[in-house]
Amino acid sequence: MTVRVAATAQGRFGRRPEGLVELLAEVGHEAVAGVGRKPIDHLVVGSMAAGSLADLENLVARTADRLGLESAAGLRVEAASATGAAAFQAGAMAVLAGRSDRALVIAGEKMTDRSTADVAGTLARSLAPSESRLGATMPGLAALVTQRYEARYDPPPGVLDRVAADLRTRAADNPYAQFREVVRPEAVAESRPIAPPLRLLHCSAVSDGAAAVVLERGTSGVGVRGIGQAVDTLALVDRVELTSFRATRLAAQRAYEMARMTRKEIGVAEVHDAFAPFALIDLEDLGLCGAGEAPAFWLRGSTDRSGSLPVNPSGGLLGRGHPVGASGLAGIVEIVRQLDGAAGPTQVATRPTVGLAQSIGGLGSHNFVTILEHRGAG
Amino acid sequence: MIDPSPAPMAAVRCPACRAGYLDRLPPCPRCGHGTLDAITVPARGRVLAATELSLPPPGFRAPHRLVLVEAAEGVRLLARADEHALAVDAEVEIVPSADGVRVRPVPRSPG
Repeated sequence: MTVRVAATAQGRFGRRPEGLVELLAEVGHEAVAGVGRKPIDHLVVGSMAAGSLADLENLVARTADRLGLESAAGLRVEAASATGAAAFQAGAMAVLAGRSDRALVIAGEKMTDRSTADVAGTLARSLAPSESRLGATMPGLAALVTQRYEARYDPPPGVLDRVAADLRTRAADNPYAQFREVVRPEAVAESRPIAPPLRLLHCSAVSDGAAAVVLERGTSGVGVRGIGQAVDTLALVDRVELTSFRATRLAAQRAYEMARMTRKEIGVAEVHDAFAPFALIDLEDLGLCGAGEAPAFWLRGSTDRSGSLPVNPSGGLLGRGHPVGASGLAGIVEIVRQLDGAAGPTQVATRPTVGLAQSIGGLGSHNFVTILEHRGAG
Repeated sequence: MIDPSPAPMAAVRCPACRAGYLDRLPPCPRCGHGTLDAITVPARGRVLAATELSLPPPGFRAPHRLVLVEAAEGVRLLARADEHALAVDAEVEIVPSADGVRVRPVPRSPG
């Protein structure tokens, strides 16, 4: 049996006046309209922290109520900042298992009602207690990983500024992105320090937003070829490798095996660049670059929309904004649209046949890889 | 005044793959072995990375320093620090404190 993506919806990311359920319902309606309002029998809703950030629980019933899907079954899914990718995989598995003929997957987050300190505290709840009780934060641990990467591979100076500037500049073309300005590497280098070597513009921003897809049985259009996921130790210090995320490597291996594909077939990728250095580590963990080779690959322009392997043509988390529960699904939506040739202003130069979306949960403790392929009209 | 050298730290080590951890219940997360042996390691280590958070979480004051340290037997830990700019590879002492483990530069030997 095969699963196809029958419709996609992407809401605008950024500071939104609506509440979480309104954001989820907006993209849900759009996705259902995209399949001509055909019946939905399964609803998957992803949110990382609706309880802490939006004072809401019981999201499936709330969202179903708003969408008129009271007769559908459903599940809420959570996998930290990879929640959107986890929700997609849960929807795909429901269809694959024959339990659903047509599933609606919605993922979103509402973050901007809270102070930055509150949000940082909530995100730190996905870390190991041994780390969070010392006052560790996501940017703090990401900075330590970045320093180890730099100590091991000695990348060219300024590469992280270039990565962040490239991604933010790509988002200038993305109508759904939170940040739509061209950013030069110098501006990244001059932004204020957050956790050295990371500066403000190396880090993704708090954002509101949601995305949705409809999945159904079928072989035409964009199909789900491989899904893979893996966990790693919660605590960074307990891992073998500090300059690579094993959970991404395992998730990729599982997704490639299911798809019976290799990295060479990937024509476009959306990776989890919550911090600019992660874009480089992701490329290496996915096998798209050798260990330590991603900086040179990036500086050659290989990841541009006209490059040999376009990466984050949407602008990624850095440019699009990072509503934590939504980002994993937004990356998948971008890949589906790229394969359909429907990405509009972010469309890559040569329309690819196979694309990959990768998402990181926590500080690399629960990661997901999804491989999609366009199989032509059916 | 120089504090006395800190006491050795309790840690665990996997008898199969020899990986060391500061604070870990079995099984070994690297090889899956079902037991971990109690060991002690000197409260000294080498700085792997160090940063300073300008936006610490609620309850912590900026600048908030975080240091990643490797002690003997491959035991790694996260610690706080009072000193600015501990360089990568610097030797540090690891001292328990009321608000979490801290590191400080190894005092220079007299003479």
